Amino acid sequence: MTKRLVLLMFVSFATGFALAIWAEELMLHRQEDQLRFVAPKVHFVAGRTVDRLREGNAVPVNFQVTLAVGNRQNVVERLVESFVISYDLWEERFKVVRLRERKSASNLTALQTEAWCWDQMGISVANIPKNQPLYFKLEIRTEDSGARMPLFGASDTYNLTALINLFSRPAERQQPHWTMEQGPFSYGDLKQNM
Amino acid sequence: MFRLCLPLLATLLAIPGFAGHDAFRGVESSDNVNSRYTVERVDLTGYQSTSVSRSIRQRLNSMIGRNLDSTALDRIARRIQEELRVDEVHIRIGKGTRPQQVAVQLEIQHRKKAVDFNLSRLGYLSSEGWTGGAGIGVEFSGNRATMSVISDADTLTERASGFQGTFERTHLTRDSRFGVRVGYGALSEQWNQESLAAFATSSSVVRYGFRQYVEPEFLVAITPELQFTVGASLEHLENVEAPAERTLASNALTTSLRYKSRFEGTEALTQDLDALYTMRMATRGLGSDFVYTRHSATVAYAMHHLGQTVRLRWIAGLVNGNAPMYDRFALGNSTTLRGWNKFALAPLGGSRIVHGSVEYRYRMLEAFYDVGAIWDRDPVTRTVTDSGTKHSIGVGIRKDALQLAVAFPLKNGRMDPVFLAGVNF
Repeated sequence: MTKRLVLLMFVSFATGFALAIWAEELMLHRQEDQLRFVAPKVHFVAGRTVDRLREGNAVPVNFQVTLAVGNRQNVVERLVESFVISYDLWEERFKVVRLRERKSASNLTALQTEAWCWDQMGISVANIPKNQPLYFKLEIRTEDSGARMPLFGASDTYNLTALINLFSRPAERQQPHWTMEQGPFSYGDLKQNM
Repeated sequence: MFRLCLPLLATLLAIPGFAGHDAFRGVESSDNVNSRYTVERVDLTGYQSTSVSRSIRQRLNSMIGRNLDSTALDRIARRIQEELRVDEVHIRIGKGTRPQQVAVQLEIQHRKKAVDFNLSRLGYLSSEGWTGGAGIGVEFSGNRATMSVISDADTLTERASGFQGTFERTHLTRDSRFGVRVGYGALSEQWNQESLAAFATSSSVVRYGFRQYVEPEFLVAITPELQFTVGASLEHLENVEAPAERTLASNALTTSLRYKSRFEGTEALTQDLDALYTMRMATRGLGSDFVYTRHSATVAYAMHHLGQTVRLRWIAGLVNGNAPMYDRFALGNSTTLRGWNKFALAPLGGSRIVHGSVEYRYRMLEAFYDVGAIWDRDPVTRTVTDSGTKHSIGVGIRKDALQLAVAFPLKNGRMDPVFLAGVNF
């Protein structure tokens, strides 16, 4: 009996601990009709990306977010965003441009740059069914210098289709990329920030 | 039906403006915060950096004294990659010696392989059987030597099996316009039953059992896109029809003119054009037992747009005189009139050929249409043998060098599928 109790306590503790860690990987909250998201443990302005930035290059960072209802395949909302980050060689601060609206921020630290990007994104939950399980998926990819994707090589128009095509291909082996999923969860589970 | 509509839908969505409010601009030079700084100097370093063409150097030098344009730098890096065929061109931008200035370095990186093994060709066509080739290549001091073993039943109306080797110094740039190539081959020939039957009735075409050749060639790059070659083809053939004359010689002067270029309208739309004209002229003055002139022209055009490719290819050829079998044309193989049996069309090949091909590819899927005609004018009897204009269609999948396809020759009310499978086939 004692052994079973110890085992039960251990399982409860391990499950709770795992859930706590999992919860920190991806934080979702609702702001009016927008689902906002942050992955505080993901640092896309770090490592190899920062090495390239400190060499004066502009590095595109691409995001794809999908929200599925009922099951993971039934995607009802999709968001694709692309940001271009650069590092001022003389000021030693970062600049970031959101390509969709040509909105930018400069004189930032690496953490401030990441926070600014998270702050710009949200996916609509206005029209999703409120009584069915939801599945959230976030993919992030930074451009690798070796790949030199023609999409981002020059000042030409590109569009939603091009970005979706980009995410439909597997990431290069050495290309910095992250994928995070959450679900099933219910609409009511989402905390609301006013 | 829905899958068939996907490429069309993707094309429409890809048209700028069609995607409505979701369309947005790509990366601009001003997105890089360092674009406000002036370029102090540009250095080109690394593998074969001295071989970079003068036009690229001029473009790099023209950046000095101007604001940093990182998108232009990216384009130049890509051009260097294509020109030198290297793995990567790494761009480093650092602080200049004075405030508000930056120094640019382009480092060319290439993981040099001294020796490489390759499967140059492997394929199966149900009408002609297997074709294969594998070889080894060695690079040293800007030269390249290759040696391969082949058994090719696809290109010509003969199965040629044996060794082929090349030595070449053909890496041509604006600053290094001359090259040289020497090819050698020793090939044993096998003939199809239909060809053997046709030999028996032909008065002008000679059957041979073994051939070896040496083909020295000089190359001149008139421009990076336009290349001219002149050389010779010296072949010795084993005469199996008249054992008294053990060998026959087929010696020809060769020349070619090739224009190959890529046009980059936008980054999402690129076009390739490859036009080649070749001429071989064999005369008694060169000690040749065969006297003939062979002209051939090939034009290939490809348009690539967001995973879709349209390819057009046109071939025309003409032989005047009595050419050996290897210089006669063949239609109905893995690249021309796919689905047709070349031995049924012209078992000894032809002296005239016209062929056109249209291909559409969407990612791995491909569909094609071929049309062509092959005919022969006997130089002795002056009679013309014409197979008529033929058509074929086909579908398949292609992933990099791997291809799997089924082709249908369009005959009167009949559909006889022919399967193609292979690598670099």
